Amino acid sequence: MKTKHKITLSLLVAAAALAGCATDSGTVDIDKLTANIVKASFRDEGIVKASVLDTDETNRACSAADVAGKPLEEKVSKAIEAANLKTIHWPAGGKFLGDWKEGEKLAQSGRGLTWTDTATTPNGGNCYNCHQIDKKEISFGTIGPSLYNFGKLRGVTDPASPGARAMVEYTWGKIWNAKAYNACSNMPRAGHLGILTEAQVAHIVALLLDPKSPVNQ
Amino acid sequence: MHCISVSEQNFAVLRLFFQRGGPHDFSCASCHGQDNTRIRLQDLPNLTRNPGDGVGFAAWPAYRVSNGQMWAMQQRLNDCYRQQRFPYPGFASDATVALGVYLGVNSHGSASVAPAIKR
Repeated sequence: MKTKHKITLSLLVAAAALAGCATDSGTVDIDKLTANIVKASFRDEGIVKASVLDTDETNRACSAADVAGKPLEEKVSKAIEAANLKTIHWPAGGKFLGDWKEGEKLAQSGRGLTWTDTATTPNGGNCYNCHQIDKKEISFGTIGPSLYNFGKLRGVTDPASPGARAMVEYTWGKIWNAKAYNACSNMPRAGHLGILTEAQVAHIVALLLDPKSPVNQ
Repeated sequence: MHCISVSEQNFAVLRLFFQRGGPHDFSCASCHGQDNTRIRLQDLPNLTRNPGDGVGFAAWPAYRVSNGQMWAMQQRLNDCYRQQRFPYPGFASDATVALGVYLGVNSHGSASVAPAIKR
């Protein structure tokens, strides 16, 4: 018991030492303090620049809500969703669906954009890290919902039909910028932040909506 | 220089833990903010609660089989940030020391299994 207390105390002292002095009750701008800690702690490495932490209002608002442990006010989240919706780049010529086989490869890959990747490392979609997709792949994550039978469950039998249009657009938009539909979603904004190209987004839309895709069997 | 209290410093740690950024918008909490989730087949500890289950903190330092080396918490956090697509945190930087302290405080009361073996 005594050892445990000692450990806890030393951890707290370490926390205080970070600030460079002993405790008092003075007012401190915690945002500024955090910004200073971040500035002093992170540096460029390989293809990753420290400036990737200069983030946008979406992330700032959602991070603050996470710290507070409270969801964003309805009005704020609607405004964030509207701003993100505007960033969605819709496909040239209305070609929403690519090749589901290519989509499956992208969904499997978690490569790209770390400091051990190179500028020529092809980015993956990271989809299986968080989602079940093709039922044959048993190594899937659970942070996001299962996407098995994504199109089938939504009644998409012909993605080119007018009746399927809204779901096809939503699927494209969700992958391009997930925050357009859920302000503080955990999902990356694959098109908006340059993780995937327009052609790659189309392949993933096909994986989810093509009736021939294993997702919809 | 400012003098601040431990509790206020904790707020800075929370801001670090919940800081969303980089090309994937990930924060520590994107993967470690809820119970019973996993990436692929890897179970993820929820690191936000006190008492936590201790898995995240209490298993380090550990021998990392995939890397062939013994890793302390600083290396573990460095690799978290790499996968998070964040820029490179300095060894024993204020951010990684603060996060290590945060995880340690949340694990208070759990038994350390270090030195452990990790994938």
